[in-house]
Amino acid sequence: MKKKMMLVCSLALLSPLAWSGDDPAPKKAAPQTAESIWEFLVEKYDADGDGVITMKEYGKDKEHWERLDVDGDGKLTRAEVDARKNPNLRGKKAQERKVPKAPKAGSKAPDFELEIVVDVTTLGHESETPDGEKDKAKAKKPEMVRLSSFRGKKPVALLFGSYT
Amino acid sequence: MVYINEAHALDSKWPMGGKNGAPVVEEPRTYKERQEVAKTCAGALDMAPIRMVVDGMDNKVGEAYAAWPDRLYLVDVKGKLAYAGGPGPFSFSPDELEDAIRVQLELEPIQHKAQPKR
Repeated sequence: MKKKMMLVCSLALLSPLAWSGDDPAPKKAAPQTAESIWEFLVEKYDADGDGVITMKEYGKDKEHWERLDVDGDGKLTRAEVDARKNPNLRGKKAQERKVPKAPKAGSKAPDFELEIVVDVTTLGHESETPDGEKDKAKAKKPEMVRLSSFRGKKPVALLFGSYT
Repeated sequence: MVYINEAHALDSKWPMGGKNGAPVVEEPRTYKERQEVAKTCAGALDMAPIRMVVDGMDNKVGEAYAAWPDRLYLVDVKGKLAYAGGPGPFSFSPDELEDAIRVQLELEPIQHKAQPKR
C-alpha cells in the first residue's frame, strides 16, 4: 500500500491539494507497530493480565465486540482473534457488503467540503496543559477545503484510502 | 488524499495488520478519533506535502465516490472526472492516474514499468 501511495503522491504534487509553504504540515505521529492484532488488544485492554479479554475490559460498543467475540462466550482469546484472519471463519456476513455506485469518467465530480488534517489539539477540543489540567485549547478555526473551489483553476487528484 | 474509513481495522469485518510492520488500527468511533488515525497515517506514510482531508463519520464523501477501500480519481478544471479509477486494491492503478495527470497538464506520455499482477 505504501509504495503505491507514495508513487501517486509524488504525482499529486502537481495538484492544488499539495501543500503550499505557508500551510501547516501534519506533525509526524508514531506508527502503530504492534506485532499482531492480539498483541495490540492485550496491551490495550487486558487490564488484569490474564491473557483473556472480557467485554468489561474492552468497554466499547456491542457491535464491535461481537465482531471480535466470534464464539459469543463473552471472552476474547488469542486463538479466537487469530482465527478472524481466515476469511472462511469470519462468517457469511463478512462477505456481504453494499457497494455504492462509482461516478464515471466524464461525469461531474461530486462536490465536498472536508477538514484538512492538522494537529488535533489545536482544533478547539479539550487538551492537556503542561500542568495536567484540562483546558479548552484556543479556538482555532478548522481549515476546510472545498473541491469546487478549484474549478476553473487547476485539476485535482483525489487519492482515497486509509491507514490499513 | 481523502482519508476514509479504515479498510482493515482489527475490529472490522476484514481485520489485518501486525505482519511486516503493517499497522494495527481500531476502527475510529468518533470524528476526533478518525482525525487522530488520519494524522498518524499522514506521519507514518510521510505524506507531506500532500494535503490530507478527512471524511466525516457519515462516510458521505467516500460513498459518493465508492472509494472504500481505496480508489483514485482526477478532476479536471471544469469539475468533471477526467479519470475514474477502479476499486482498490486490485484495480488501483497509480500508472493510469499518472497518465491522466499528464494529459491534463499537456505533458509527454511515458512508458510505465510492468507492474506485477495482484
